[in-house]
Amino acid sequence: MAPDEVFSLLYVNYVDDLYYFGISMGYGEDAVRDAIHDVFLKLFSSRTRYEAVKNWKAYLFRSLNNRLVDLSRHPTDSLESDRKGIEALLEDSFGEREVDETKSLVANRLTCLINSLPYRQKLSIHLRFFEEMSYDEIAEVLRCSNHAARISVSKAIQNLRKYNLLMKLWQE
Amino acid sequence: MARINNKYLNDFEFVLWVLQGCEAGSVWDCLPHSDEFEEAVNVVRSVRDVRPELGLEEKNELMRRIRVSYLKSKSSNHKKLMLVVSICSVVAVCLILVLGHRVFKSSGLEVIVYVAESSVSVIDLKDGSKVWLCPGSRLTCPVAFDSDIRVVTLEGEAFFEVAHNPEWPFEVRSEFMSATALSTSFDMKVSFDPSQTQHVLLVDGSVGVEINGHGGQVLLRPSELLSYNNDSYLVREVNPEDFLSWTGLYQNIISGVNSISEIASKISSHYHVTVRGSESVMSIKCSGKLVLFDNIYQTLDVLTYVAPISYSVSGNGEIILKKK
Repeated sequence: MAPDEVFSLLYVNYVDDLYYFGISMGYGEDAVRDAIHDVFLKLFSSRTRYEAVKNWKAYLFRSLNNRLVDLSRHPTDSLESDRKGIEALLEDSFGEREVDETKSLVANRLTCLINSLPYRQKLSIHLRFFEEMSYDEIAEVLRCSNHAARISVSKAIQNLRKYNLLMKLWQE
Repeated sequence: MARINNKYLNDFEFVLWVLQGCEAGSVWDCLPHSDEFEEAVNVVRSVRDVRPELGLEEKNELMRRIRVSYLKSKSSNHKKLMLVVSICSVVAVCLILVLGHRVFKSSGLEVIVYVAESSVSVIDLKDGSKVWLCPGSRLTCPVAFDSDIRVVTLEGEAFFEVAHNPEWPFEVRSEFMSATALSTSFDMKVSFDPSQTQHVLLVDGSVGVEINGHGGQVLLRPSELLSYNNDSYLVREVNPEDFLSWTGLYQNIISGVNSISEIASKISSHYHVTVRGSESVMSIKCSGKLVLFDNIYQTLDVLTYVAPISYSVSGNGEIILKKK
């Protein structure tokens, strides 16, 4: 496949996931857009070296996360302005699409719990739950071993249980 | 507040189980897959689809931005190259300056001071030391001293007044010996001709003299003179003024002399001229003091008044003393 085609496919397939990921990790809309722009710009500029990438999904998520962390270290206006947060954005998307009430309730509760997690656990739980990544993939995004990725996910789940008890979201 | 009626959806563990991909072998997997169960699984799975998204237009806009940025970066590659080149050249210039300074400092770009036959030069060194250079002498010193030692090289005779710095020794080197001093004033005479006497005279402070090939250091006390001739040296106490009249630091008076020959040698060293005379003239006894004027002829005129001698100047500038 020609590099340009690969690039187009990657963009079409992953731009939504990446955007969702960025927003979930607590970054502002504009910051996430800028980061995605930077990631794909770099990808487009280095089209001749695509063979080096083994797992595109893990590569893209890792790049985006790195870029977001970089941007947050050097805060610009785009990062701070218009930072609605995931809850507000979810509200928006419910409003638009008339998601049924039960589904939105479950989604809200989950978001609420996950947002309380520390950054790295939030990252691994997002990749595990919403991107359905394997531990190997998560390990590649986090730049750690498979074992460490498993520990990160399981710690995150333990924390979710703890927060659930504290916040009394699921009680029955 | 809205309630969830599905009993599975009300169980957090069930939600976690579905989110982790409905692992087989779990307690949930063993439950009868009723309609309620299936519905709960579907709801949890579809939670993933409840997500903020970029609209189609937004995606296209983003893609357009990426392409524009790419084209910009491509066209600015040339500019970047120029920037890199200019940065490189700036770095190179800085390197040359830094290295040049080091070379300057360590490999010793040197200043050589050569004093003409007829005058005494007084030089202020960068470290605050002061050097009186005897006529016809040559002093070599670096443009900038090393950080650990101050080294100058001497040919001829010079009187040093060294600026005090206990951590920064001052060393005068010559072909046959070297003198290291901290805070001191001393005179050092180095002849070009090894058969002639070399000397180090300490006026004040302390100085260590190393004679090449003799090993060890000879420590001098004030007013001590170390003279070195033909591979042997001698230390004796002297009157420094007798030796330093040429510097002008002391009154230019010759004293403690016994014969014309001694006066002749003092005049010779003071004015850096050769004074000759027959044996009978040189052996004339005399005593007292003689003022050395700036002008050698003035001094010689005075001498002809007080002693039964006359003088003439030969073609090559030598002073010849004669009996009257």
